[in-house]
Amino acid sequence: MAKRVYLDSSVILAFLKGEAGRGEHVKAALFTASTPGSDLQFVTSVLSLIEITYIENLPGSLEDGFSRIDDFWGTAPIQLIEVNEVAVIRGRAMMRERLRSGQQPELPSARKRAADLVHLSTAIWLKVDEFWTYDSLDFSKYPQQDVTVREPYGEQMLMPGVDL
Amino acid sequence: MMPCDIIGRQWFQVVTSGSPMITKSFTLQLDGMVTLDHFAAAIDAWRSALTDISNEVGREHVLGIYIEELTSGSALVTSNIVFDAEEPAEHFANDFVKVGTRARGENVIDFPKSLQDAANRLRKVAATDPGGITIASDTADILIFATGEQRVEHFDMHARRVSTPSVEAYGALRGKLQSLSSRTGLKVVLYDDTFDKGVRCSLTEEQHETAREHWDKHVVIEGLIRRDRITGRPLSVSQIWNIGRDERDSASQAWLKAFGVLADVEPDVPVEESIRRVRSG
Repeated sequence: MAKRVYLDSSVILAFLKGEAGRGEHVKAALFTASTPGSDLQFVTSVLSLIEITYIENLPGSLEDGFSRIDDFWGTAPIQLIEVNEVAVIRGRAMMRERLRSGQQPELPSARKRAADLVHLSTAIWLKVDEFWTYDSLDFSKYPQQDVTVREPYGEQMLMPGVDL
Repeated sequence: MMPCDIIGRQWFQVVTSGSPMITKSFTLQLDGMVTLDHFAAAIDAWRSALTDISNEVGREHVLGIYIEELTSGSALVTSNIVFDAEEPAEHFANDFVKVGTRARGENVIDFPKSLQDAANRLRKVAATDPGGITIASDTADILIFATGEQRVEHFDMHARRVSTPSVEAYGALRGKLQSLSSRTGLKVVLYDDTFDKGVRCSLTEEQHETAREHWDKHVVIEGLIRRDRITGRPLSVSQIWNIGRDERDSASQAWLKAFGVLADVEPDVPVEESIRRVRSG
């Protein structure tokens, strides 16, 4: 049975930055998902595209960076999911549950919560098996048991002899 | 049109007397691998439901129920119902939504007891289909769940106090264009990439050729998307303003060339911190 994994934008950024100790893990997982017949499916919100767009415009981008990033979004084995009302309503219920439970003071700032909730509620709406992020500390604060929040891990690492 | 329920004498009298007639369309859509037995049971339940609603409205106002469309690829049947006036047509459409909502297991205020059997029959058919069934009128799309999705329903019933079975928003859907029908206005069925279920799309005359060109291709359709209120599954798209080829190329490995492309952007900042800065504004 196919495994559906949500990618927070921090995971995609780790690939685009080639971050030491992380970027290669993400690359290997994406490579696995791109293999014909793979049962690993990656999804992310269009919000990730927006967040990456903000970062790609900061100083330091390569000259041909935009076209390579365009190719990334156009060919990477990641399905983009629109923000939609039904998904967001789940996020709202999650937030209210947290407020009722008296856990509000532990939350990050209000601005951060809005984007976090879009990512997390989209993942829950899609009933993904796992939610991958490098910011698991913040995401794990939300009251939900429907999805496992964790950092990308090596189960999908490449087979020996495959050169990326 | 092929009559499937005839009140012929009244039909003839109204036509010849020149009284206004109102025609409304109602659709039943099945999902998944549809067996002949399942299709037969569904059609039987569909016929019974439309007949029961006709009786509730008043048979004298329902001049005929016709098969407007029968698409095997997506197991879809659209029935046109002809009424003698606007009021019973509206009454029928309202009762249709009530039956569908009841079949989902939701409470319906002032639900006519005479329609309980119709709701039960549709629910029974849906229970044997893993993807559920969809019934639709011009103004509502109602997904009746298969067993197992009720837990989700309970969650959202509390989260959102609205009575409509579907919600609408403008957006875009990606998927494969597979069924075409053009008897009266071109209709297409898109199998969306996320749920892999059929989504009915109504096109304008100007969009017919574009749809034909894109048949059996991956496309992006932009328009007013109606989703099931509980699962968020897209059910139909109307007011379509664009149909274009999905240019994504999943066979290409070009994405690999983007590895490390942002290596010099905030090089000493961990990715989670970069994202946090974006989210904090």
